[in-house]
Amino acid sequence: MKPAIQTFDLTKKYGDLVAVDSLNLEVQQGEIYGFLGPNGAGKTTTILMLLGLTEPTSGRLSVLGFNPLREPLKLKRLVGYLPENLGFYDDMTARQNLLYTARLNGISMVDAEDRIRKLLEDVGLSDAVDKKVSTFSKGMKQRLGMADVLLKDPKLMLLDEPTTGIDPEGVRHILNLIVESREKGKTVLLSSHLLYQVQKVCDRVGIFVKGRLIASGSIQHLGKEVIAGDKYVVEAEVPDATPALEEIIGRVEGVVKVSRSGSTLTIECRSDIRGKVAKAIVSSGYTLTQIRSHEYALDEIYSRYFEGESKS
Amino acid sequence: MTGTLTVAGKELSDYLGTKRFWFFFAIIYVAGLAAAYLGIQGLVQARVERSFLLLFRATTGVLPPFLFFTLYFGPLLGVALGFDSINKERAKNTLVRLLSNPVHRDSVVNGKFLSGVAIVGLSIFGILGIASGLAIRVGLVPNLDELARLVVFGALTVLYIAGWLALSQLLSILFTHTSTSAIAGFAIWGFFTFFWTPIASLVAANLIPDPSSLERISLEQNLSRISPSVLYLEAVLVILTPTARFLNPVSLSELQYVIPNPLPLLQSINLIWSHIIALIGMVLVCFLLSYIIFVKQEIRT
Repeated sequence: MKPAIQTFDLTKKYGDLVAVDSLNLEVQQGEIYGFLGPNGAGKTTTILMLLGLTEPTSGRLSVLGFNPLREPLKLKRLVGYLPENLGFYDDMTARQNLLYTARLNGISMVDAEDRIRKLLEDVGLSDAVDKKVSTFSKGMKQRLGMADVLLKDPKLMLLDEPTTGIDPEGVRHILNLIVESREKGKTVLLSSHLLYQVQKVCDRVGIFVKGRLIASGSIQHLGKEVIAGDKYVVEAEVPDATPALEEIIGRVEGVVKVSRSGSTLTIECRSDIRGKVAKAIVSSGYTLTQIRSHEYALDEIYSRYFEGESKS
Repeated sequence: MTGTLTVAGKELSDYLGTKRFWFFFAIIYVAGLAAAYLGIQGLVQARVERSFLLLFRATTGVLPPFLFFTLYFGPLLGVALGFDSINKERAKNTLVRLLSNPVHRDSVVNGKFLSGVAIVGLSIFGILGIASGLAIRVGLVPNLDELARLVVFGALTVLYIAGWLALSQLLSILFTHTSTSAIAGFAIWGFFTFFWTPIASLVAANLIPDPSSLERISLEQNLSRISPSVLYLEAVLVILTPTARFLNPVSLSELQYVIPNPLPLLQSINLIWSHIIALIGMVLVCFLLSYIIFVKQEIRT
């Protein structure tokens, strides 16, 4: 199966600023790909290039088999885009806004009315169908945006920060809609800087910094890459920990490095030596309330990359 | 084409839903009706040349003639309808969402223009209809030629205002802020309506010092015709005055052979053909620039 998105050395420059630098991205059909990176990393620019709304400076790209610059209309029929700063026509109701999208996409009015009613129900806006968008909260607009994207039944969804600035209930709702879309065979490119959410739904993630994709793969894969395989991290909770305890643990065989913040000790070692560490703590007269091996979360992978980036 | 019509339909219902539009509509109707009413009063009292068309170009002294309302307020209507057409969507972040749908950028420009022209047409022909009704009630019944001239007058007015609409749309693409494009639009309107004619005569006077030479008068006239207001005024005066047969200066010897009878409508149109082409050209140039600039523009939120 051909990838849904493929870019080859895609580059976009604004004067001296390189917004996207030789991006080689591949997103498979039917997967949720998380696009991670801080603000200004070039995520939105990339999405705009994928849609043909921005012209690349150099490089090639293919989206659903189309060149976005040559066949923009064919592509835009198949792609749903949720912009970061979502705007609706304030004087129009939710239904009227969606009807306009339906007309632009050539959906027959009979179909559109039905689909809009159902979609607004799905996103939890059935009470606000005929309310003007100017009365909507940020979260409601974001839900309406999801309905707007789903209305054209796209093969590929480009979602730029879909969950920023909305309440946890709304986030859960939107993430559910995204996962449901994958189950219906849609491909999703999800751009975000909210790592926990990306971790929850994405099959693969790419980390984007200063216009470059510095890593791409599943979260487990990225985690291993960062931890460099040989290190093992243990966390211990000792309420009465002192600097002296750090030294005691440091003398345990196999321990590489000990650090402490408050009552939490983070111990890097060559293998899983939780037993030896626990024994050392308890036999020195300290209280050990908990000891666990550390699991790498996405934010850690992410910050590791940034540490590397800022050093270089 | 479907994209254009979809955009036009949405914009049309937008216009009809805004206070700004109804405010303008009310002003134009009241001013136009007042002019027409006072014109009729004047004509009835004067009992000189009772002509239907005179109603639209004659003045009673109380208010300027009807023609001046279209000449001065028409452009304002055009600018008011178009100055925020693209940059408002940009500011409200609806532009990027709109363009992520299968619609060409030129369809967006065309659709917005089309809905503006529809509004202008409705206003102009509506007010002409009401004024004609008033005239007929007091016994100024137009004949077929006069009626046809009235329709051409209306069409020229719509074309003239459409030019200003196209210009203000171009400004709304050029400037990000709606206030900037509005000010620019009104400034250009003021420049061409009030300052261009004096500037043209100044330039002509400097180039050809002899005040009585025919060249100087022609030069001055041709320079002043760069202003769409001058073009419009000349064109509609010919249409509303069936006996008018010259636009350019003529010598007295030539005038000797002229029989002062009214021209048929087609002959009058023939006389202003270049004016009509120039006004259409103004619309087309604005459009061409709009397309070129808008297609190359970066669309971001």
